[in-house]
Parts: sequence; C-alpha cells; structure tokens
Amino acid sequence: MGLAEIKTFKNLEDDVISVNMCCACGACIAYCENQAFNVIEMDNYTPKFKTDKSAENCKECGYCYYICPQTEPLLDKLKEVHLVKDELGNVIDVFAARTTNAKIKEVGQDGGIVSTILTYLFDTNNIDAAIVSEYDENFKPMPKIIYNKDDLAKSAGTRYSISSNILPLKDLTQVAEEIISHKKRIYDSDQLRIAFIGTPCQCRAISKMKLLNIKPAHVISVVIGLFCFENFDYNKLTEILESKTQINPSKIKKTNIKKNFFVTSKDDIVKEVNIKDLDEAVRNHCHECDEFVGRFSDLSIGASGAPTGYSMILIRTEKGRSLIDSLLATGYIERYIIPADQISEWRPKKINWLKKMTSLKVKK
Amino acid sequence: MVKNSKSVLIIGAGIAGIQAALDLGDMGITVHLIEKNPVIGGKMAQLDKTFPTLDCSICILAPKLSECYRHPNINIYTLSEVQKIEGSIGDFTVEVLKRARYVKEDACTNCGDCAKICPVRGIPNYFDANLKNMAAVYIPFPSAVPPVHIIDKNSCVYLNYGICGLCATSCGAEAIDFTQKDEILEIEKIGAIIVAPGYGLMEDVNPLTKYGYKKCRNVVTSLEFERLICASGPLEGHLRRLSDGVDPKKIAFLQCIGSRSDRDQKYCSSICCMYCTKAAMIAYEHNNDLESYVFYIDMRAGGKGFQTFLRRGADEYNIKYIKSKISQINVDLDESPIITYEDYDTSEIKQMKVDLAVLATCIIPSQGIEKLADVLGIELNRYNFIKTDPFLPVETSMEGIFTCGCAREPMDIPRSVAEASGAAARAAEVIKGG
Amino acid sequence: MSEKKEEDARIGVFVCSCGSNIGGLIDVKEVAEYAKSLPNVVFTEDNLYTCSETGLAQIKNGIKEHNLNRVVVASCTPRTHEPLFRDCIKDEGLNEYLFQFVNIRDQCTWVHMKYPHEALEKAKELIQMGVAKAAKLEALENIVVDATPTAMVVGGGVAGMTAALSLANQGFETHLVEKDNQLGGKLNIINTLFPTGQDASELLESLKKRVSNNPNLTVYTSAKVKDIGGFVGNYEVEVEQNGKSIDLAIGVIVVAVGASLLTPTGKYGYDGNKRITQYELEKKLKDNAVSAKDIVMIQCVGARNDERKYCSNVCCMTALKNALLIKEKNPNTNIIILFRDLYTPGTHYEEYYRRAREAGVIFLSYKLEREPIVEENNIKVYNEYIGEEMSIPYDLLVLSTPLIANDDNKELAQLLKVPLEENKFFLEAHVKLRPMDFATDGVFICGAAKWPVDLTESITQGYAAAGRASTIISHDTIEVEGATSFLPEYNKNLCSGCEVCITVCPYKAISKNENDEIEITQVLCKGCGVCGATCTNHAIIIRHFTDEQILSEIYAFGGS
Repeated sequence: MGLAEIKTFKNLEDDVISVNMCCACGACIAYCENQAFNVIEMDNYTPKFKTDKSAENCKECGYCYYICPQTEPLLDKLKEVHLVKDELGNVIDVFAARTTNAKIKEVGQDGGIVSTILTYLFDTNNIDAAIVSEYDENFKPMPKIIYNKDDLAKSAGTRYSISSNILPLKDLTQVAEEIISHKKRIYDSDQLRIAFIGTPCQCRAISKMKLLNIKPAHVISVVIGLFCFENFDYNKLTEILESKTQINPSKIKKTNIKKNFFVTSKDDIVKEVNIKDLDEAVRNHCHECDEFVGRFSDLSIGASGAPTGYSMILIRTEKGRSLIDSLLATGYIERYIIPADQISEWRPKKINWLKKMTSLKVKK
Repeated sequence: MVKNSKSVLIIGAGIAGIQAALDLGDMGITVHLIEKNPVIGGKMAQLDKTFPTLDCSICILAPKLSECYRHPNINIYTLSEVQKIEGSIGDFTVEVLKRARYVKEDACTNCGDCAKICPVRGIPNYFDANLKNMAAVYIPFPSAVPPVHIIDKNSCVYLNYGICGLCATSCGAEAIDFTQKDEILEIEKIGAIIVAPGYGLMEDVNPLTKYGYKKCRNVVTSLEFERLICASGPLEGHLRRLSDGVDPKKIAFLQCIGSRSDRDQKYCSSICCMYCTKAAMIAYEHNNDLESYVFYIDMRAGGKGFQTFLRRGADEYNIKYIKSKISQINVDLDESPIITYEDYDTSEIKQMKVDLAVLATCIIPSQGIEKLADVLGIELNRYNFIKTDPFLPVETSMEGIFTCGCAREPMDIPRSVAEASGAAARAAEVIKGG
Repeated sequence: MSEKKEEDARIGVFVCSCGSNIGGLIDVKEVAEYAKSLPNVVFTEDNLYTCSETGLAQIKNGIKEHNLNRVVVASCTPRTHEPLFRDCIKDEGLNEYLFQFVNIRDQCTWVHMKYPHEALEKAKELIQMGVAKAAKLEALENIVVDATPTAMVVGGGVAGMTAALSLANQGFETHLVEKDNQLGGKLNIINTLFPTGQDASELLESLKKRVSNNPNLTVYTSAKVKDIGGFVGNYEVEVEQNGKSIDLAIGVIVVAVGASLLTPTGKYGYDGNKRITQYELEKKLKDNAVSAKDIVMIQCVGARNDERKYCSNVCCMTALKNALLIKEKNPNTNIIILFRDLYTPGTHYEEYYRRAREAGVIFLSYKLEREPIVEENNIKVYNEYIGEEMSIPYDLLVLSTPLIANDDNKELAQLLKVPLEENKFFLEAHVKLRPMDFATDGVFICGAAKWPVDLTESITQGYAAAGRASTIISHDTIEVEGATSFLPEYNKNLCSGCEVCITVCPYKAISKNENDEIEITQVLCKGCGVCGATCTNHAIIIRHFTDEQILSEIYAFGGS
C-alpha cells in the first residue's frame, strides 16, 4: 500500500505532550473516541494511551497529530482558508456591545455577549446544543453540552483554568441520540448544529477539524472564540489562591481579573491577589502562544479594549456577521455608542490596542 | 453467428442507455457503455415508485443493472466522459477520459467497511437529492452497479493532505489504491454511437426563490420528495416536514414550475402531470389522513392506463385537482407554505396554506450537453435538447450517431425504453447491414 | 421416480462474513462449525468475502479436495451472486444446478440488526434448511432450441413498414403481411403531418420506395394471417393471399396492425356533412373543399369518459394542425376549439400550441360534467372561468374522436396466444420496462395496435420492436435455464385434463397437443411455478423446486 510517513500519537507525545506544549483542548481524544478506536484518554489534563496494549492498537491515521492546535502542518492551509494575514486575523468589523437582557447582565462577564448569543440561537431554534464550561463544586471548570438556554446561567463568566471544551464531542453519538429523541425534525446526526465556545487554541483545533471536514466537528455550526491572555493549571492555581486568600476552592463564589486577581467567597468576602504571584500557575504552552484574540473562528469576543460593561466583538466571517446583525436587529444586544468626537479614530485605536495586547502576550 | 468486429458506443447509462446496451448485447454486438457518474442507473434509480403501475423503481431497475454488469458483450466505463471522436459512420474512434476511482474494481466486494470508518462528513449525496451526507469513500446507494466504492478526490483527506488512509488499512480485500490516475482510453472500430445523457434538474441552475425553494424548508422539489418518501431515503419512508418533523396532513403538488412559462422554459415537461398524482398516491399510502391538492394547467395523461390512474387518484386517494396558475409561495410563521394562485374554475385569486409544497420542476437538458454536442459534432435544437427530425426520431444530425430518451425531449420511462430499443435497432442496422 | 440416494450427497458449506455485513453481527466461525453437524456435510469453511477471487478459489479447492458434489454458500443474495457461484462450480466440473444459496444477509443480519443472538440462531436454521435441500438437488441441463433467422411483420402501416425495414436492413429475411390492397395504413388518409406541415404522401412514398427496394423484404398485400403454430424461433405461419395459402417458417413475429377510426354516431349530431370527424376533414382539406367561415372543433368526443376512459394522444395535435392549415389559407375564418385538457406535451408540440394561439385560434375549455349542446347552427357551451353559457355559431363542426382498437384484434390475439387489455388494444409484457414485448417470447408489438400514438412514436416503436425481435434471431439457438416445469411420462396418468395449468400460465407455455395431452413448451417456460402449484393432482413437476426438495427444507426446520 505504501502510505507516506504519517505522524501518529507517539509523535504527538514527543513533539507536544512531553514538552508541556499540550493545551488539553481534548481534540485528539474527541476524534479518536468518536471513531471508537478506544486507545487514548485524558488523564489529569494529559492525553495518554489507555493501556500498555493501546499503542499497538493505534490505527496510526495521524488525525490526532494534525488536528492538534500545537502542531505545524495544516497551519498554512488553515490561515489561507481563514484569510489570516496578520496577528489579528480577518476582521470584517469590530465594535463594542452589551446585552440588553437583565438576567444575563447580572451573571455575565462584562458585556454578557456570549451568553446572549447562545440565548438568541436557542430562542430562534438555530442550534440544538452548545458546548460551554461550568464550574463544579470545587471551582473546577468542566466542559458541558447544554441543550437549552435555561442552563446558560451556570456557564456565564470567565473560567480561570483549563476547560477541555472539545472533549465532550467524543460522545457525539450519545449526544445525537439524546437530541434526536426530542427533535423529530432531525433525521440524521449530521444535521445537528452545535455552537462551540472556546479559547483561541481550542478554536484552532476545531477549525482544523472543520478544514478536513471530519467528525465530530462537522456538527459545529458556529465557532465563538474568546480573548485569552493566559490560562492557569487548575491544581497549581487553587494551591496558590488558597495559600494567599485562605479561601477553599469549594467556597469560591466568583473570580475576576481587573489588573489584579480578585476572589469573592460565598460569604461575600473579597480578597485580592497580585497577578504576578500567579505566574507559576500559568500553563507552559501559553508562553509560546501567539493568539490573543483567536483568529480561527466566526466571532472573537472579549473584554480587552472595551468600555466598562461592554465586550469587544470581532466579526470574522459572513456567518458571524449575519448572526450579530440579527442580534442587533432583534435588540438582544446593543452597540456601544462611540462619542461623536472619537468615531473616526475609534476603530484603528482598538485594532492597535489588540495588536499591542497580542505582542505583549508573545513577548511573555 | 459470426461475432461482429464493429462495436457500438453508448454515452449515458440511465434507463435508456442501459436498455440500448442490453438489446445490442443480446444481439451479439459488443457495447461500450460510458457513464460520467461512478455508478449506472441514472435518475430512475432515485425514484421511489413509477407510474402507472406503482412498481418500486429500483426493484425493476436493479435486475437490468446486474444484467448489464454481467453481460459478456457489454463493457461498462464509469467515471468516464467522451473527449473526442474521429472518423465517421461505420468506423469511429473515440477518446474517453476515465477518472480515477481510487478503488480497485476487481477487488472491492462492496462490504462498506471503508465508508463506516472514514471520518469525513458533510459531503452531500446527490443520489439522496443532497438531503443526506456521505463520507469521502462511498457508494451512492447500496445496490449500485458497479458494486464498487468510490473515493471523492476533493474530500479525501489522504489525497489532499497525505494523512489518514483509514479506508486502506481497514479494507479486508486490499481494494483501496491511492496511486490510481485519470487515464485516457482510445476505443477503435466503433460502428455507431448512441447518445443518451438523459436530463438535468432545473433546481440545479435556478434558485426558484419565488416559490420559496431554499427559503422555506417545507417547499421541496419533486426529486427531493421522491427521496423523502422512499424507504431507502433519508427519512426511511416516514414522511415528515423538514422544518419541525411533523407529519404533513395537507400537501400541495404544483405542476408546471418553470415550464410552459414565458418567464422560464416555454415547453412542457411532459411527465409532471403523472408523477404528481403518483407522489400523492404514495404519500396517501403512508398516511390515510392526507389531503392532496394538485395544481395544474392542463392534465396531460395520454399514455396507457394514465387516465385511469388519474381517476383512481381522485376517487381513492383523496386528491383534488385545481385548474390554476401559480403566482408565488410565501411562508407562514411556522414555516408552512402559503400558495397564491388564480383558480381557473372561478376566475378568483385565492390563497391556500399547506403543510408541505412539492414543486414539479421543469426537466432541462443534461448538464454539459453543449460540450458533448460539440465533441460529437451534433446539433442541438433551440431548447438545447438534441435535435432530431420528427420522422427520423432517433437520428441526430450526424450520420451514425443516434439518440434516445430525455436527451431529445422530456418523456416518461416507457417512451425512453422504446426509444432506446429503437436506437439500438438503428445502430444494429449499421453494424450488421453495413 | 428416480430417487437420489441421500448417502451419495457430499455437501460443502461456505459461510461468508461479507466484511462486517454478516460477520459484524454474528460469529460466522460458529455458524460454519455448526454446519459440520448437519447431515451429508463433509466440509465447511468461513470466508471474509466468498465472492472474491480468494473465496471462489476456496470453493474450487473444497470441491477438489473433498470430492464435493453439492455446494451451499451462505452469504448475501442470489439476485446478484447466484450466477457467479454457479459459474464457479461449473468451472470445477460440477453441474451448476447442484448449488444452493442461503441468504443470511438481506434475510438475516440486515433485518435483525438489533438482535444479534436471534440472528445467529436464525442463520443456523436457514443453513439447516439449505443443506437439507442441497441433498435433494439434481443435475439439470439448459434447454436449447434452434432459431430460424426470419421475421414476420403483421400490418403494413408506418410502424409495420419501419419495423420490417429495420429487420431487413439487419440482414434478416422479413415478410410483411398487410390485409389491405396497399401499404400505408392511416397514412393514406392523412393530409399533412404535424408538427412540420409536410404532405403525408411524401413520407408514405419514401417508405414504400424503401420497402420495395429492399432485397430482404417480401410484401404480401391483400393478405391475412390464417394460422400460427409452433413457438419462439420456430413458428409455422399460414398466410392467405387472394384465396391462396402460403406457408412460412418464421423466427419472430411483430404485430403492427394499427388502430381504427371511431365514427361518433349519435354524438353531437354527427352527420358526416356539416358535423364531421377530423379524418373526414383531412379528406376535405386534401380536396381543398373547406369553405366554412365559422368552424368549431370539439375535443375528446367519445373519449375520456366512462365509456372510453383513455386519451387518444393525437387528436389535440390533429385539431391544431388542421386549424392552423385553415387559418393560413383563410385568416378570416373563425376557429374555436372546445377542449377539456389540451394535450401538447414536450418541446415541439407545446410550441405548436402557442403558434395556433398566435394565429388567432380561440380555445375554450369545457368540463366533462357539462358537455356542449349542439344545435343546428349554434353550439351552447358553459365556461367556468367566465361563469356563463355561450352560444357559438358554426357552419362546420369538427369532432375529434379517439383511435379505437381494431375489431379483429381478438382473432389475431387468439392466434398468437397474446392478451388484450380492457380497451381491446394489445397488452404488452410490462408497461414500463418491456413495452414492445409480449409476455410470450417471440412476439412483439408496436404502434397504435398497442395504444394510440402519433407518427413519431409509431416510427420509434417500429424500430424498437425490430430491435427487440433481433435479440432473438441474431443467434442460431435460444437457450433457457433448466429449472423449468415439466410433466413426466410417469405422471401422465395423474393428469385429469382440467386445463387449469393452461389458464394460469402467464407465458402461455402450456397447451394441449393433437393427442389431447398437456404439452409444456420448455423454451417458453420461465420456471415461475404457478402451474405446479395449481395442478390439482400434483402431476406437474417444477425442476429445482420439486415437492420433495421444498418439503425437505420445511421438515429440516420444523421436524418431520
């Protein structure tokens, strides 16, 4: 048969995992498990072979290596398809906006845009499910598939350590059965439409999968990327936080970063932690990452550069544009009104700001 | 019987091409059957049932497909297209481009393991009127002939990126062959050629948006409807609305969509009058509560048993026929089509809301027919169908090149089959008579 | 009855995995192991793909090494693969009928996908039945008869002449029999042709010339078919011409006797003078004798009603053709066509309709429930769209009547042993896929004798019938499968002469010979089994599906 030299999971271990470059997105496992090959699993944020025998059973198809966001091949083609020419990627439009939904304002981060987008998509029956991230009782982010907007509240806000958002797709057949049993409209699991929310590296993996048009990413109908400066390792982060604030992870109500790191306990005690003290907990791959706004998505959303109470929205594709247009038209979100004297310079200023943030990240 | 040294080349392996091939093969003449799709059978294989007998289409077609495949005198070339011809009647030489299938035809056993393991998704399957997706290695339908899978070179990850190859590693018959290349074949000593490329679909070239097609999920074309009610189709024969999965209780069948019209095609598509009633009958068999409405200008049912068929539709299958002209279709909040029409029996403009609307779209000449006509040197008429004289019905403008079926003008299956046998007879005259 | 001693059978069973289609649901090794325990089985094997070159080689090896004389393959479907396996064992010297196919895919693993355990048990039971039958299988030979390379076409109209010419051009000795004293049929009556407008006589003369110039074609005018004996490839036809008898040895027969014109006596005041048929109009136009100023044509006269449900295809175009002709000669003539549905399908005919409208012909629709009322000088017609009854003056009324079946179709049908349908037109084997064939091999049909058609289709069908007929006489012999029905010598005393088998045979393969004995023409038999099933005394035997063979399957499964 003579198939060319294909890189496999063993190469992934050598090139990415063993050098601490794995971002624990879960793509490799989501693909492999979806194919029912049954050889790799996620173990404490590290993909590995399930058993000693698993390595022999590996099909050596190469997908895990090539869809990994941290590998080189496919990156050029991906950039070509996503019209990425610089560090910000393809930008059709950029502006700031916020939700008009009172409930979301309460729980949301900054503009509450992501929660509002998902609310809209569920309301108009444009998606059947969404992949989001929720904190468990120990403040650990867990990726979750939700089927209706009522489950959105728990996923609002930023997650401050890794959530392997692509991992739930490994059980796509079960997810499909669950949805199809409720929605007669769907006659084929290929018709599912799932919204994906993730960090730039995770969006990169999803986009690579969509480039190849493979399961299980074929059901992802919209990709929403979040701005990401750095992310933390859960174990190390909670260790440092607990030692600095004496608040046990199970007692944390809310966290946020505003120059420094703030922890609010369930008894509403607020403690501040110097952001530099958390440096040790930053995941290694974040140091090598050049994506701040995330370039391989339909929309990129984040707080950086936006006025208080608003979020920045970067529209990258026609799909993203028509989605945001609908949200504006139906009044789910409202634009930030730029003061008259700032209009002409507002956009280039924000672009420069985001480029600056990106270069800051890279310099790290 | 002395074996004829000359052969016949047939372009197009739909029901007409297949019938002509079988007749000529049975006469002892060698046939080269050229088909551009990866499998033979054409549009007839996609239908659920056929009028007026209500036979299951693939059930009566499949034996002919098998016969063609096994016939000692018939050579089938799929994924092939004629590029050039030289010579004249009695002695043509034809150059054929045979595209790579990437699967060895003599090794593949059609078990389907490759398609199951291929992770690629999202490629619409033309056979299911693009209502279902298939993997990069596929066979359009299970009983297809040749019974060999195909790799779509545009979506195959190995062919484009050099990774995967899961089909190859999982194939127990070692039938996957990524090294295959497109090849040019030269076929000599062809005595006569029969051109039978069939017809094209209007919806492929025209958005039909004034009828709500593609805007409203409950407006479908007749071919989509055939696949939806077919037991081997995406819904496994349980008809549901595509917008919400509800069983439709009221279906409208709109004839003359894009035909008999100054706006689109002026001619009559011939078969819609019969197949709309047929479709309504099949839908009624699935759901006895169904009300069907057929919107027509003139009911055209001249074939054998056709008038009786229509009467049965009205008497036994709850079909109401409305002589009318359709203006447009709008959409309700629950995505139900609302049809605006002029009722010719009362001269009023009316509106009817239905659960599902089926558009009987006009049959147009096969895609690529202009190029084919150019290559063969034959004339097309003003409608772009192959030009024939009414009293020399199977002859093209080029001696030795014959034609039959919907390549000439829209017609039903019995006529296509008869024409195919007719073209075969004329070709046989050339081969045997000289 | 020759008994096949069961201990002579040495059966090999090959169980196929069919990739994962069968093997993915049930354990084929276990099934093959089970088959070893069945009576007369001396060898079993399981394959990944029995139909592959490897699998076929394994069957051949098995036959050789284990001296097998019966082979059972448990795999997919005989529809696609039976010929393949039969050829395989034939290559190894075994009679191809000593092969039994057991379908454990379509009839087992595919339909019981959710019940693997039950599917496994069922596969075993199916093989148990197949093995039992295999033990009872007997070697059979295919049936071969000679084919005379001559053809006869009955009917010398356009369809008949076209068919005869095509057959003659292919090199076959062809006999064209026409009961009239001239060839041409209805083409003799027609004035001009639609949609081209050319004179009918042009086409007619050209056809007649080609017929008379063809060295392979013999024409018999004023001749009728008197008697037909024999069967496909071997007909003995007696033709009577001017009182004389001519005997011909014929291989295939094409029926092209056309249709007749209906005289609408009693309808719409028809009188052949002021109220005429389209065909009478044709004659008038030929004689240039049309001077009327107000012409009304009524479509569907005596057609598409309870008496005659069908549409005659050609009447609308005929009316349009004549209307256009008259309008071209005298643009001031008023022509109004009363129609129900206008039949102008396809590209050219629809265009023709537009031309007629543009030329000023007026079209008015009426409904079956409210037919026009013809008075001496006016016609009263109600039109839904306007919602009123109109009174149209006329000085010439033309009635468009349908083509009807010939009166003598019944006689010819009986001679040929072919059926007629409810309107007395000839009934073909299958409306869709075998439109030119009869269910009885060797006889073909084309043209208006089958159903009203226009000239284009008559010509196409003439060619088509010639093509179909040629598939038989292009070969020296005709061969059919050996699994036919037969009445053995030792059962002749069981036959009660009830003739039910003759009636039920769809292929008219059974008849009574001059000794009043039942004769089954082997070459016409398709092995369908209906005669054997209905034979009241079980005298008829269906080879390859004898009572003993079928019962052996049932007993193996259910216990005797």
